[in-house]
This record gives sequence, C-alpha cells and structure tokens, in this order.
Amino acid sequence: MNDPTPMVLVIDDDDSVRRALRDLFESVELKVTVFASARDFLQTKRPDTPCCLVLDVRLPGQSGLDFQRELNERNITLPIVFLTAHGDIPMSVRAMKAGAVEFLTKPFREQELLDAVQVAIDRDRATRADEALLAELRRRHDTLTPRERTVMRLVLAGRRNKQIAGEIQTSEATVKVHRTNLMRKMQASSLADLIVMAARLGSSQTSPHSPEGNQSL
Amino acid sequence: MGSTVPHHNTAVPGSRSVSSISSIATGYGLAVAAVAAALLLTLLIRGTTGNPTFFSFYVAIFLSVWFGGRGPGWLATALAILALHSVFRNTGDLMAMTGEKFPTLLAFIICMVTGDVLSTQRHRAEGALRSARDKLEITVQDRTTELKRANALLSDEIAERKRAEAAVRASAERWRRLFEASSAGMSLADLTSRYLATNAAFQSMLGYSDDELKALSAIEVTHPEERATTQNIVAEFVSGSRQEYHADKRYMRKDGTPLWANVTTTYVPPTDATPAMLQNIYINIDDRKRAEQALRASEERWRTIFETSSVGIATSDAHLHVATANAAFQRMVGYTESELRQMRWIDLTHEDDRGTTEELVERLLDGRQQSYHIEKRYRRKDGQTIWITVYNSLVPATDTTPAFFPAIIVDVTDRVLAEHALQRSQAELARVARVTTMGELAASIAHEINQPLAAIVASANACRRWLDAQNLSRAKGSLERVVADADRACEVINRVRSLSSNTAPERVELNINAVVNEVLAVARGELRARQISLQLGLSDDIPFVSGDQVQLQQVVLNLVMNAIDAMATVSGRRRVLVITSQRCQGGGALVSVQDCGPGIDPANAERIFQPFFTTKAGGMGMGLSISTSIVEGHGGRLWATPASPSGTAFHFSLPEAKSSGA
Repeated sequence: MNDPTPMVLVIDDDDSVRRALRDLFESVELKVTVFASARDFLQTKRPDTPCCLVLDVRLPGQSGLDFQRELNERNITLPIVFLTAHGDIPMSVRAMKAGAVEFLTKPFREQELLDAVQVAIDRDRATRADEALLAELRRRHDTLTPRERTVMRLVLAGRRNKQIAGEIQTSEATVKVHRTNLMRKMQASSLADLIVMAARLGSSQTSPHSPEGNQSL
Repeated sequence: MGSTVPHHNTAVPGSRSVSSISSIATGYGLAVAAVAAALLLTLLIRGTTGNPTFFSFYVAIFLSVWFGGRGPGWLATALAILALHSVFRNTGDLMAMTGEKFPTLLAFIICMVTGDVLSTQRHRAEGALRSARDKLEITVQDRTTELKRANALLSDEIAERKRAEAAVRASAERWRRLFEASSAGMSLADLTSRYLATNAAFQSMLGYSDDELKALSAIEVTHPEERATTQNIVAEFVSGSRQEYHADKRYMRKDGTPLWANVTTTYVPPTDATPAMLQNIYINIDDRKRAEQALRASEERWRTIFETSSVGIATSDAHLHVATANAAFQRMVGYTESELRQMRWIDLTHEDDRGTTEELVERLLDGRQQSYHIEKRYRRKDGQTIWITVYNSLVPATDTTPAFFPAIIVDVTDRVLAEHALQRSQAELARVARVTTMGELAASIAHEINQPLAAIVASANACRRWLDAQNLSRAKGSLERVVADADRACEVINRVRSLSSNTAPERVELNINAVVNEVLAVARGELRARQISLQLGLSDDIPFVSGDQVQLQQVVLNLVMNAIDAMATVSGRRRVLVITSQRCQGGGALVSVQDCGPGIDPANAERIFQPFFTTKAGGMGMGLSISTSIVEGHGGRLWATPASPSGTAFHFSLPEAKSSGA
C-alpha cells in the first residue's frame, strides 16, 4: 500500500507512560501524537491517515469507556486499543462489545501492544478504503437522472426491458438507452456488478461498517 | 533704797552706810521742801491778808528737826532766815530787818533748839524701849530653842521605835505574801502529814478551800495508786532518815480528776516555839504530762500508720541512704529493713531510670523544687522489675533533726502493665485498620505501581530497538526514563510497606507536608479512579512536628479515604479534594482535608469520632476513632467543620516539635 504513514494516537494522563509509549512507537517507525486527556484529543483535528487510538481506561474526568461511547455517538470510527493498569472482565467485555480492537493490561507485553496497534491500523485503513469506495458509489449514483434511477431500481428488481417500458409508459428502445447510460455512469461492467454496488449503497444507510471491508483491499 | 545695787544682795557690807547717807539726804531734802512749802504758804497768806505771818516757817523748822535731825533742823532754820531776808528785802536792809524782825529770827532758833531737844529725848526713850524689847525677845528665843531640842529628841525616839515595828511587820508580810501569792503551791504539814497551812495556788490546784485541806492529810489527796509510796516517804521523814523528797506524782482533785504535780518536801526541824514540820512546794505539771502523753499517742499513731500502711513508706538521709522502711515497702522490694539500711536509695531504681531520679533529687537538694512524683521502675531483690509511683520531698534540717527525704511508694506494676498491653492492642488495632485501608486501596495501588512498570516495559523495548538501530542518544533517553520510572515504582512500594509495617511507633521530627505527599503517593490512583481532582495547598512555612511517621500517614490516609468515600455520590459537578497545611496561630501545624460531598448529618456529628460508628456499608467504624487517638497521642486535636458550599472539612493540629528552630 502506498497510503500515508499510519499514526498512533495516545491518550494517557500519566506523563511518563505517554513518553514511554511515544518512544516505543517511534522505535517501530510509527508516527505518534500523544494527548493528556480526551478533551485535548477532541480539540485537535484528526489527521487524514490510518490511525489507531491507544486509550487508558482511567482518565481524569471521564473514563476511557465513556469516551469510547462518546466517539461512537459522534460517528467517529477509530479502532481503539485499551490499556488499563488493572483489568477487570466486565470492563473488557464492555470495551470489546463497543468495538475495541484489544484490551491490554499494564504492564503489557510489548508484542501484544504492537500487534494490536497493527491490527487496529489495518482495520482503520480498510475502513477508510471502504468509506472511500462507498463515497465514490454515492457520487456516481448522484449523477443519475431521476428517470435513470427509476430504471435502475426496476432493473435491480428483475424486470425485463419490455416490462419496464410498460410500467413507465415509454418505448422499449428508450429504456435500453437509459439502461446503457446508467451502467456507464455507475461504471458497472455487468448486471451482477450493479447489484453488488446497489447492495453497498443500500446497506450503508443502516450500518457504517462493512463486514466485508477487507475484501476490497 | 536697794535700787542702787540691783544685782547685789541687800546684806552686802556697807549697806548700812548707804542707808544712813540716804536717810541723811532724805532729812535735808525734807528740810528744803518744808521751808519751800512754808514760803509758798506765807506768800499766799500775804497776798490775801496783806499781813505776812511766819507761823508756817516754825512748823517747817520743827518738822525738819523732828524728822530729819539736828542738821536738817539747822538747814531749815538757815533757809527760813534766808527766805525771810530775800523775800521781804523791800522792808529794809538786813540790819533794819534784823532790828525789826529779830524776835522772829530768835523765835526760829528757839523753835529749832526746842525741836531738837524734844526730838533727842524722844529718840533716847525709843532706844531704851527697843533695847528692853530686844532683850526679852532673845530670852524667849533661847527658851523656845531649848524646848524644840527636847521635842526633837523625843520625836527621834518615837520614829526609831516605829521603824523597828514596821520592819518586823514588813518581814512578816513579805513571808505571808510570798506564801500566799506564790504561783507554786505551798503547804506546811505536821509529821502526821496533816496540813497546817496551805496557800491559794495549792488550793486552786486541788480545788479545795484552806479549811477543807486542813481537815485532810497529804496521803488523802494523793492518787490512790501512789498513796503507799507517799506513806513510806512520810515515815522516812518521821524516822529522820530523810530530809528532803522530790518527785513527780499524781494527786486527786476534789472533783475526782487526777493531777500531775512536781512536789518538793523539806523537813523543817523543831524550834523552841514550833514543832518539827514538813514544808511542801508543788508545781502543776499536768499540762506538760498531758502534752507528753499526747505526743506519745501521736507518735504511736504515726508509727502504726507507718507500719501497717499498704503503701510503701521509707525515709532516707540527705546522702540518700535508706534510714527507715515500712513493711509494705519491704514486701514491695523484697529487701528487709536492715538490708535496705546497707543500700543507697538509687540502688533500688532501675538502671534506665537512675538519671531522671538523680536529677530530680538534685532539684530537691538545691531547692529548685519542693517535691516531686514520678513513675519509674525498681529492681526487686529477686531481680524482677516493678513499676512504682514515688512521691518524694526533702524535709529541711531543724535544730534537733538533720534533713531527710520521706517518700511514699505505690506499686503500680499492674496498672502500668495493663496500660502497656492496652497500648499494644491499640497499636495493633491501628495497624489492622491501616492494613484494611491498604486492602481497600489495593486496586489503585496496583495501578500506581503498574503505571511506571508499563512505562518501564515500553521504554526498555524502545531502548532495545534504538540500540539495534545504533541510535544511541534515543536509547540513552529511553534508559533514563526506565530508571526514573523504576524509582517511582519503588517509592510507591516503600510507602505501602511502611503503612503496612508492624514496627513500633517512633517519634521523630518531621514535616507534615512530607507525610501528606507520602500518603498521596499511595492514594493518587484511587483519586484518579474515582475521578476526583486534587487541590493541594501545602504551606512552606510549616513548623516541624514530633511524631511517628506511619501513624500520622495513617491519619492523613484515613481522612483522604473518608473524603473520597464522601464524594462517591456526587454527580453532575466536579469532585474536588482540598488538602491544605498551614502554621497554627498558636504554633504547630494544622492540616485540613476537605471534601465536597453531602456533608455530615448533624445527628451524627458527635458520633463520628466514636469507635464502631460508621455510615459506610462495609466500614469498620474505627478510622476516625483511631485517628483521634493518634492525634491526641501526639498532643494534638482532630475536629470537623462543615465546608462551603457543601461537604466536610476535617482538621488536625499538632504541636510544634520542641527543638525545631534550634
């Protein structure tokens, strides 16, 4: 991949932990930005690069888990690796259910942390690619005329050209022209291709995540 | 007459001649005055009648010769003639006048001579009469003198006789008064010891009148227990084997009460006029005897108290050698009194307490202190250590007794051992409470330790990679952080260990701010976990206090944990823990721990410091009780006040360490 350099975002109120993590990630050639609090994090513009959030469960003012919920509520998709000084099972279950990549207990094994960060970055990269693709499909879809959108909906519903012409009260030749145009605009090479695209567009309205996100890489 | 010699007695020699000269001068003066008066009278008569008469000159001449004598008489005569001549010159010359007035002149002279003769005769007759009278007077005086002399002789004789009689009477009176007025009782008795005479002092001593006593014998007024002895003594006097007797003996008063008297009986030998007698002198010594008896009783009482007292009583001399020790004291220390007498006071005292004792005794000896009491240890004869309280003082030397130390010693071993056991169990309880608190903090403490450990792991791994990449400067930076974080972890572990330790309390001078910081090292994780922010206001101007570090950490930790718990229900606003320290107004250090929780229910305000009172579900209720006893054990105070706008502030003050600032 020739993506921009991934970045690790660290939120920890302990200065020495922050410094140590920055040192560690820099030693494996990852870019690092550290924050002392969730508030500082939210006030900073998110970099346009695959990211991973390394988050201490105990934060002053607001716990890491609360912060995770807040991010979800704001539709900010950011894979999170939780760090805690003393893990307890209910907390980790909550974190994982809310989509955390990993839940590590301090003092952690270095490799576990680096692996988890790698997984998270990969996931973010995939999410970012997925989101980029979806945006393209929407853009293409947006170029269709209303008549073409109607034809596309009927095609996807399995109607033949003749049936479509009958339904929208036009000639079969006109339907063919619309169909050719929408296939070109949507850059679909086949009907099957168009069906897949339509499925993506349709599902994006109910779930921000694509379970098959990795596939497109 | 005497005015010319005012400073001299009139009896000086020559006074007669002065008197006679004066008398002569008076005579001549009289003559001049008489003639002058006659001249004036004559002139007066001539003026009215025109016919001079010289009768007044005769009178003047006669008066002069009669009263002044012959000289003045002649002077008056001469003056009268001269007056006649000069006044009546116009009547003719002297011869004419003489011729005419010759009879007058002659009459003047005759008058003069006649007066002189008459005067001389009168003076002579007067002289004879005076001498006859003088003679008679002398005779009378002589007779009177003779009579006076006889009378004086008689008076002397009478006075002499009176003196002799008075002397005899005075002597008798003196002896009688001596007998009567003597404050010592006196009596005379015959050889059957019957009283012949008694004096007032003796009567009042026994309460009998003189007559009553004369009806009694010496035996009868003697105390029944001493009658036999008295009878023997009287018999000895009668037989002549005894001349004198001297004794303290008891008499019986009329009212039946006994009386102590000192009696001296002397044998009076018979004379021509009197038979042999016994003379007695009594001195009332009842008061003295009574005082002696009271003193004896008092001494006996004290001796009994001393001997039977359940507390130890002992005295030692000024050199601190044991002088006396009662039975209780002997039992207490296991030595007999004679063994104690061989010992010095200090030998009993436990070696560790000797310095203090010696200093206190020194203060008594040099008068800086009147008395002292001290709780200390003795070593018994069997080597066992006992705890005693000793009350000691110094009784200064008097004329009769040297200075000594009376001491009262109470065995307080049981109480002291119980106190020590109580202190031990209190310390144990405090430790349990401390460890319990540490248990509550275990999670946050683990966090506090894991935090630096995580940093260490990360830094160490980074370091390894920097080394692989030959980036030595970054590797060095990583290593330095490893060291710093390891130190930090050690710090926390040390705090935890000291709070969990079971070491004996030890007083040192310490800065209370350091204690607060040490507690925060342990509790900071808990504050973070409970999302409590800390406002720390520790004054740099804080005096050192004397105290046990662990115990004071426990107090601060307890207050911090209570504050954390108090803020558990706070939501919708910041949870803030405020810890401040400052110098007390009266010296010493003041620490305040304030939460912003709901505050203490006033109904519980009094009870929160009592043991086993808790408002927490899992609380033991010992925290504040233990904290209070720790603070008070340090001479300080722990109290609570409501905080504004909500919550509670707990404060504790500790006195300034004595040597701080030195």
